Amino acid sequence: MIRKIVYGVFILIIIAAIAIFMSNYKFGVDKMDVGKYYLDNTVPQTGAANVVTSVTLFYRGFDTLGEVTVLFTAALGVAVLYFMGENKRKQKLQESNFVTKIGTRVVFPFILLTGAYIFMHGHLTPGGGFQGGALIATGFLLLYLAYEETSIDRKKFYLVEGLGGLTYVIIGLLGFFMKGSFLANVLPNGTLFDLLSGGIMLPIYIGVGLKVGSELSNIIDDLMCEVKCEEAGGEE
Amino acid sequence: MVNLANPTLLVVIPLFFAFLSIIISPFLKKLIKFVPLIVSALNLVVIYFIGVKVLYGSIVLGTTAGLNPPYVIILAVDKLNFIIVLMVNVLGFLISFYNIFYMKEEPTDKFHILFTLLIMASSWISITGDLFNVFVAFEVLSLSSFGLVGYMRSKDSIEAGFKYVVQGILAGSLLLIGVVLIYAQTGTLNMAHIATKLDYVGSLEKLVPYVLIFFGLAVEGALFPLNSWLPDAHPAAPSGISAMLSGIVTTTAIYAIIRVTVTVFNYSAFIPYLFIIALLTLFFGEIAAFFQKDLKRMLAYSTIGQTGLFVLAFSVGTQASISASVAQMVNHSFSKAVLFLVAGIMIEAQGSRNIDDLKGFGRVNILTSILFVFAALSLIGVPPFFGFFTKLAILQTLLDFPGFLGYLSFALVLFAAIIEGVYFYRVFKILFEKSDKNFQAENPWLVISPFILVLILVILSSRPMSVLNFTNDIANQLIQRTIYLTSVLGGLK
Repeated sequence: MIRKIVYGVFILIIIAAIAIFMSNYKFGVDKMDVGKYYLDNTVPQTGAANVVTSVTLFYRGFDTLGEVTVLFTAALGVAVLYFMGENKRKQKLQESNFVTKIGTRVVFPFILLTGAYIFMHGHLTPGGGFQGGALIATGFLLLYLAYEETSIDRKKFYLVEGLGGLTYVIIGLLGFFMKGSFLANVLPNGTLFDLLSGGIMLPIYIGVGLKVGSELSNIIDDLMCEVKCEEAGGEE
Repeated sequence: MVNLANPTLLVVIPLFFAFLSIIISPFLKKLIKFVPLIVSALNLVVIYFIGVKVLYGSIVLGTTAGLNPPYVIILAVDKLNFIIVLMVNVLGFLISFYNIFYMKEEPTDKFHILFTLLIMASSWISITGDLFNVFVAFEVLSLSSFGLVGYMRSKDSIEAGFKYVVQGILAGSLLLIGVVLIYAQTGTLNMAHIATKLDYVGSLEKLVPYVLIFFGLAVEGALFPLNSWLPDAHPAAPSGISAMLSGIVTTTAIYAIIRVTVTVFNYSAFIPYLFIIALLTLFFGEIAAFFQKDLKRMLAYSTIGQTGLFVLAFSVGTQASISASVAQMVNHSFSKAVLFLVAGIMIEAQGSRNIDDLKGFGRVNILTSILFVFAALSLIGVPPFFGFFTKLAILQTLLDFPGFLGYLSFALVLFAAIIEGVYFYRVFKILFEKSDKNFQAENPWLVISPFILVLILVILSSRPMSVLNFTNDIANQLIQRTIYLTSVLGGLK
């Protein structure tokens, strides 16, 4: 009881502090120093129609590289913690019904296509590599749900994952070797609103999309460990 | 000609190898164990080129995206960054050498990739000049250490890992909220740019984000009320990881606190509280260490106490105090890494973590035990070891703290040193006691890394004054914020 009161008081103090803080905060004052620069310079400097993408992928591309690594690390962590080795978990799954099976067959290619569309048009429309990749992974999740015997080839998925990450790093290094600054724009900007515009953003987002898609699929595969995951990925 | 003195390389090289090794891991699994070694060696080469410039007093910058800050992310290395990133990679190199022979539990390839990422993230935190970057690197750091703490998948390591995950994620969100509030105030994320703009922000508006960022970092930095994950996580992790967590992860978190406090906020109204928090951390850490029967748990609590010690020194807020704090950080990182690595050898030799089971170990494996004694003596601060000079410097600065608290902390630091001496002496005594127990002989490959680390400590002990002069330079450069601000922002008005 006393403990609950102490917690309650503590939370009240935090709420009060944040409330006082927010009441002092002046809304409507122009603090958009850096933001205004992005709005003014995105098109001439990067050739991307989507300013958000230009900020995440070009101006603050180093952060996004970090976010890509966060996901990479998380997938590795899941693989480590769910590592089964020889004693695989055997678990009988309920067989899915007819509608799910047929529906998956119909929808699966379209999911992949939509995912690919989203990450390839990241510099033109809302969305990008992370969103497109997540969409692709849902396609594989659906496969797992519909067909018990589904098993992705981990070697190939690791290959795609690594290549996606390497694309990002190598494009960044190209900038480093050609312009002396990591992730500098080394490709032509192209015509605004064209698919082939936005300089380095298109190849980077393709890499990120494929990487995120394969990574999340790997996580799904790890979590459904009764499927033959170690046979494909864990051995030499 | 490509300029190798670019801090971005310190992040990019490990990432390149991490992505490469996930591709080749199904085919050439045996090679993956060398990846962290190669990565930290290459990083050390880059650090050498950076160091040549940094030691002449310039601040080495690495811009991204080919534009000037504050519009893009920048990495900046001054003397403080340099010594931290040097420590990260030296320890990373030696510990990954140790891990090659120590790690047998599958899946080793993923272990070594995660370790590479841990080195990468620690280096990244210690060189970035961008506040949001700190958060991103912090996420990579926490996630890789979660995986490594729970790596053994035994009951206690899963429990420790889970505790760590919950607290680490909470800390990450506090840090994020703090950064967001700062961005809402100033409209920028570059540390130097924020620092120039915070002069026009009210004190309360500064205090709330500072407290949030501080507590976000303090979980990883093991400060008093927020460190309940640490005594579980360090013993449960494989010994190489305990050494890395204790020597590097806490140190980088404390570094981040120092950088944010001095460079960005130019000290805050929160500092007196920081002094008290550090004092409590020191006191409870050492007291708890005294009562432990588990060797690694004792070392983990001692880490908490030591963290309290250098944060205590830092929070006095003078140039001498920052200098003493950094010197103590160096001493702690090296000696605690040795202690954990040697503890790993001991545990492997006798199969339990209990101190009493080690009776007579020192009579069989003399070299290992002597390394343990050397590192422990340096940690306690026995002359003529390096730790003595750092603790002396800390004690000198503590009297600068105004009022009664200064004297109290002086007494408490001495008291803590005595407690430290007592519990380490207990281990020495058990190590060299007579017993008829048979221990496995030490694996000579495992002894190399702690041996080199002890050599480094001996070299530091032979020239304590030049090290303290260097840390004094570091503190001097840190306190003169305008140098950092102008060189990062360049020609910006």
